[in-house]
Amino acid sequence: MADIRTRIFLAIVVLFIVFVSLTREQAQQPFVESRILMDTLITIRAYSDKAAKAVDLGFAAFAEVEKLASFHLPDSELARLNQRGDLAVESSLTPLLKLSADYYALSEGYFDPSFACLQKAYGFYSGVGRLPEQVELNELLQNFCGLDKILRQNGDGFVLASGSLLDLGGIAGGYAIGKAAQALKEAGCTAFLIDDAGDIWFEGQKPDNTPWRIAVLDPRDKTNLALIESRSPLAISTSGDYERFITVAGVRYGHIMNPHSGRPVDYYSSVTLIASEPIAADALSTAVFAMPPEIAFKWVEERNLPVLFLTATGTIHLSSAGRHYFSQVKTE
Amino acid sequence: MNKLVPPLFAGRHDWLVLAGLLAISLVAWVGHYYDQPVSFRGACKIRIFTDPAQKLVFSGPQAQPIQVNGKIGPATVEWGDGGKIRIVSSACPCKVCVNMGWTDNSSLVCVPNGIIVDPTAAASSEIDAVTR
Repeated sequence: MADIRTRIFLAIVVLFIVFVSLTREQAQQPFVESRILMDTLITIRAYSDKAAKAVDLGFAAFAEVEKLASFHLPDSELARLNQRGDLAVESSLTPLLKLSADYYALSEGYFDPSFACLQKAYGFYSGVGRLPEQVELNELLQNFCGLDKILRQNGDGFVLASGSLLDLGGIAGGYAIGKAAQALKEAGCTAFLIDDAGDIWFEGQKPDNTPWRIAVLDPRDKTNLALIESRSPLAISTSGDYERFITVAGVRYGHIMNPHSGRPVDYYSSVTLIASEPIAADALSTAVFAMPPEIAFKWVEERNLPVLFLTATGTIHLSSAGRHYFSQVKTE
Repeated sequence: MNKLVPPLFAGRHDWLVLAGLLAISLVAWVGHYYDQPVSFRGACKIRIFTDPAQKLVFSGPQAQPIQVNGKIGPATVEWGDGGKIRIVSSACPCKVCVNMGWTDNSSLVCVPNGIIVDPTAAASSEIDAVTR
């Protein structure tokens, strides 16, 4: 009798071990979902038994920001501001407009959502590229660009100068990542990664205790330019000219503009910047991409920003702070 | 002594018990393996956000380019050396998806045409994301 009981016990133990090990392995796999929102691909990886619900709420946060800040949706708050030229101060877009003004000032005008009128002139929104004359660019720069000149706040709200346009594409993604991260945490998810078309935020501990590993893509050959490994939360953003550009007479022109000449910049192939907040990484990577190297290298050193530059000529430049974050940097 | 510590699987039918346990384990492992995300089995995945949404799954690179119909028109996807993949053409206006070129470690997306291509065949599970 004892013999049978021992065998049954052993059989139960073996089955228990098999199922526990399988269950444990399954819990270590992330819940991954991608959706098209804000005119791009958003992916969320979450480690939690409540991941599905939390990820849903994360995407809902992106959808909310899209309703506010989409340049293309005709009924977004931003589209109304662009069409009517004014916006009530109680609009949900107000915090993002204020943050945009902050980053415009911090970057000394290199991050400027009012460059939308320049991008329109070049045909970025229509898909039919053209090269405006310098006279046209000068007029646009003088009368319709410069966030501090064309967007005014008064008691009732914001007033946008007639003929100006705002495109918050250089900051809304980072803002939405922050909102989505908040939603994921409130839903009980403590370890997750949000990837907004290459703008990344991660936080929390993965179940296998390994660091988060982010590859920086080399746009020239699509191999890895560098690696970022961290167990601490980080925001990473890359600005480049290799995906969004127009071609005129066989020459490619990127979508990020020089605030002085109004012409597309061509100093870099990509700029990857690490920050402690998604919105900072998003806005500042765009700003630094617009700066000539002699200004950008000094500017990021003064602010101790970790940045990896791949110049248009193929030179790789790593800021001092960047040496603590970027590893396996490709040799030129 | 024998009565206090009985020998394990010494009886004639104990091999059947052992075989049964192994069979259960095998079934559980196979079920678990096929329940994993597609990326862990080296497949390529194309999602098309038409109404209703479509999901095409390829177990490996295809010799010929494939054409899919997106929200606004056709798109062509082709595989290259080492499982690399690209969108060759799409009915979208700006061709951002075509300009993304070859990739083997990050998704390609054509927003206007509602198409996502996940080239998961060569994806490394050691990398959590790619910034580009």
